[in-house]
Amino acid sequence: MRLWGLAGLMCACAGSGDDTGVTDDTDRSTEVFPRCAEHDDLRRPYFGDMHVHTALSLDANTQGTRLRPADAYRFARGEAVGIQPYTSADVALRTVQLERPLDFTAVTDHAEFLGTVALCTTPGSPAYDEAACVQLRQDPQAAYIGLNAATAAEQGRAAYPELCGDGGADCLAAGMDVWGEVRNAAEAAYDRTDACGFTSFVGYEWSGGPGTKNLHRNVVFRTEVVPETPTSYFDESYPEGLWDRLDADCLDQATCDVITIPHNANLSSGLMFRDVNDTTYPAPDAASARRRARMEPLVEIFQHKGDGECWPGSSAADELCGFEKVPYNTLAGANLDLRADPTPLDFVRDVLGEGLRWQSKFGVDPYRYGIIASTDTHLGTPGLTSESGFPGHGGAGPGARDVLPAGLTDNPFFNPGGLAVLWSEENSREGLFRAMRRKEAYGTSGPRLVLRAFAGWGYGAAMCDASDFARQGYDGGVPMGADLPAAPDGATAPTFAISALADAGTAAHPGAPLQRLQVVKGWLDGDTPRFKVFDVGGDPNAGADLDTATCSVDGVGEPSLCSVWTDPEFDPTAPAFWYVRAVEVPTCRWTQLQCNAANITCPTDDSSYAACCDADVPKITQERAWSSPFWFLPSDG
Amino acid sequence: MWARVKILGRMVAVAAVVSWALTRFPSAEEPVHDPLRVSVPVGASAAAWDQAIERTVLLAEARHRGWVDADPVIGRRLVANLRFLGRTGAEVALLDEAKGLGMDLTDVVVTSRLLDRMERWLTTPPAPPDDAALQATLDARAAAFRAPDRVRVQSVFLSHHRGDALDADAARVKASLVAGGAEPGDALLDLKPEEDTTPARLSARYGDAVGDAVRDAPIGAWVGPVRSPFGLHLMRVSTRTPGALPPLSTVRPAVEEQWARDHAPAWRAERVALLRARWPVVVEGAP
Repeated sequence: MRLWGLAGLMCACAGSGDDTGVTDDTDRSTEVFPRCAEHDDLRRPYFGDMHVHTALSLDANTQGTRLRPADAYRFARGEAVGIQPYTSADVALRTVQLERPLDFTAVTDHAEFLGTVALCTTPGSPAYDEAACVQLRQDPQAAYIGLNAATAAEQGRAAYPELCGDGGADCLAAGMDVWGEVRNAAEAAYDRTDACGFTSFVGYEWSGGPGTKNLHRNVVFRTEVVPETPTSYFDESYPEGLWDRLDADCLDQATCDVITIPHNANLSSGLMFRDVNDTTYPAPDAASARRRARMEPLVEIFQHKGDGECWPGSSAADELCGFEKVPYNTLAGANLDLRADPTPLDFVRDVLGEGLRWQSKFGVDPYRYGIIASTDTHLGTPGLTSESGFPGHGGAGPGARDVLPAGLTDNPFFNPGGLAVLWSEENSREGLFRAMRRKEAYGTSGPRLVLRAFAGWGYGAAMCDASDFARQGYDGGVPMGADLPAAPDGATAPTFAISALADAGTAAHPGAPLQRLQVVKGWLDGDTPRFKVFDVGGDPNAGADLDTATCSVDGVGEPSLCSVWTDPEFDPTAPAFWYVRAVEVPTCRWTQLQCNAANITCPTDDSSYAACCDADVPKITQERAWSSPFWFLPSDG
Repeated sequence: MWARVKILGRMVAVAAVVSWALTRFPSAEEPVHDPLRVSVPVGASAAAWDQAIERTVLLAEARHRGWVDADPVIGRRLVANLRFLGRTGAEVALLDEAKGLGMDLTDVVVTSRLLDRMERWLTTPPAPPDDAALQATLDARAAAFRAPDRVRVQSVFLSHHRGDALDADAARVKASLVAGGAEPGDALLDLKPEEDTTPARLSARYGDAVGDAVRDAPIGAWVGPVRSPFGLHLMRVSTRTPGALPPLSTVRPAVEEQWARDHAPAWRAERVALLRARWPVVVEGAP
């Protein structure tokens, strides 16, 4: 049974194209809005990182990360910080600094080990001399593997490690202090003046991974009003349980608001997103779909541990789909270099298509995701996304706890991570959270590309030359992340107004030009999702002859691209989505830059640079931005 | 389970004791103690001597303050050590025996805990900061807390799409603007004909050269053309509002964090100096 008609009716009530019932309840906020000196009703792009680990995370701590949340925020605001390894006199051997500060950041340490790390690293704590803690301090890598097994327990059997005491009481008690530190650091970093120079969000990561199949979610709160404790995998071993807790501890309170953001579905081995006919727990139905859509407006499409946009084996012709794929499909695989193929539903494009199937069956699309990217840094260094000078990000990559490893600074299949970009009236928690809720967001693979897109039924080609592109965009349609408005009489196909600017870069590190704009379309053909990639601007051959020996990109590509594009294959009876990809010209990947700097010639006997001569490790990359999608639902069945 | 409850309960009590102890700081009036013996390897550097002396003093002070007796974790550890050696008897007696053997000054876990607590004690604010202290920090760190200068700037942009005519067009358009003419220029995503912003934000969007030009531009004069990756920019700053230092009330948490970070090294140095004055040491070279 098709439910488009019902969905259309519900749309009028909920302000959404389906029955998710998602609205942005601004009454929940404790913030004044507007409050910033720089406030623009037509919105501006703000760049940030919503996925950051510090020394409070077990895996970061065992790798020698010493930066704590307050340090991570200082780094995000532009201060230089020292990172591991440290000398015996506690002097950091490496210093990093952002050339351009971020606008916003959420520190999202693993909830599971907030208390455990404190117990194991605080002399005299109840668990300090437990064998697991001793091992944690003396053999961090082995301890990490052992302790991390707790988060790999099967759902329903996840439990606090033995060292946490009965019911995890010791870890919970220790975690209270640490959670206080997280909250205080966010508060101290948040610019509450009208300069609105920096926005912090209180957050944490729920890190469930049964069988090391990644189910991780970042939990981000709207304001300083948050639950007394974070909810970990040991407390709730299913996402649905996490959402129950967040309902009870936050959303049922008058002024608390929260979202969860799934990430690294590419390492979930098919577990993060569910086929509509998957009858395992929880049974698919409209209520579960509605719950998910309400809690999860965004998905992290890209980060340090790979790209999650599209499945390399997809039937859709897409020569750019091979971008930054990791050869693993679980967290253990990423940690231990156990290579395996992913499944289609590990990737956002297929998930968006699956959402159309849910919509068809239940009248609700649980996967109506807006898109962001972030770093997942485990060094406490948000926004450190430059390919040049990449120090690694820790996490699943090699650590530098005691010495700086020779050779490449990270697993060669990993990358420096991406950024989240939010179109907001101002740089405040309220403005940015509203942007996240309405999905007026996009992700980049690191550079500060500016990508703006609107969808409607009557944009004209002259819009690209208009000085009021945004005004026309809002007046004539909807921004990224929204449902197409109802088609006016006589309209035959939706039109997309797309404009992008290359990253201007800095004087020291100029940005790369753009190669092309693309629209990626998905639609439902009967019960089967289909996908197609359209080139809508630029030149797909620009920069194709990059010389990896020099890595020079001079004289190719465009600093800006704009296109007003009408879908030539629009079917008014088929539900569909579209998202935009803005792609830079090819540039040298971080691995190639380091191989060149080390003067590696292939073949090489230097095992620490073996990846320089590994055909499976790309030498070039094509940085990009992904917009949040637009959706269309037929008005009747 | 009961054991855990008891331990947690004791920890709460200890936390209260430690919290109280953290509020007491050494004073010059307190009596000088008997000399401590510090063993330093022969040939050790001056820094190693100093480090060994400080460690010994800090442990002695921790013991003097009763932290060994007040901390249930330390007690549990010391009792467990003696039971491992086959001792039996009441915990209180075993704890006294362990102290008599000097285990509280040699056991790695116990000394680590004591030193960790001592470090917290040494860098804990002697009292909550008052407004005057925080205001002083705010003033001293004004550059970090001051809002950036804001500018109201008019922009006329000429796109690189003009090709070879770009530079000549820019010269012509600037002449027109200077003469009071109106020039629409070309469109550039989200560049507004006139906006209130900061030089830093313009740098982030359009490159360093654009932001720098606005930062230094005289009021009321057209400047440029300034080259960016996107084309040429002509700009006129109509007003520049110096960034103000925000009132303490709006930045208190950040100032408190900065105040503690600024003063912690001095608190520590002062307290260590006082302790070392009260704990004379006799240094012995290790065999």
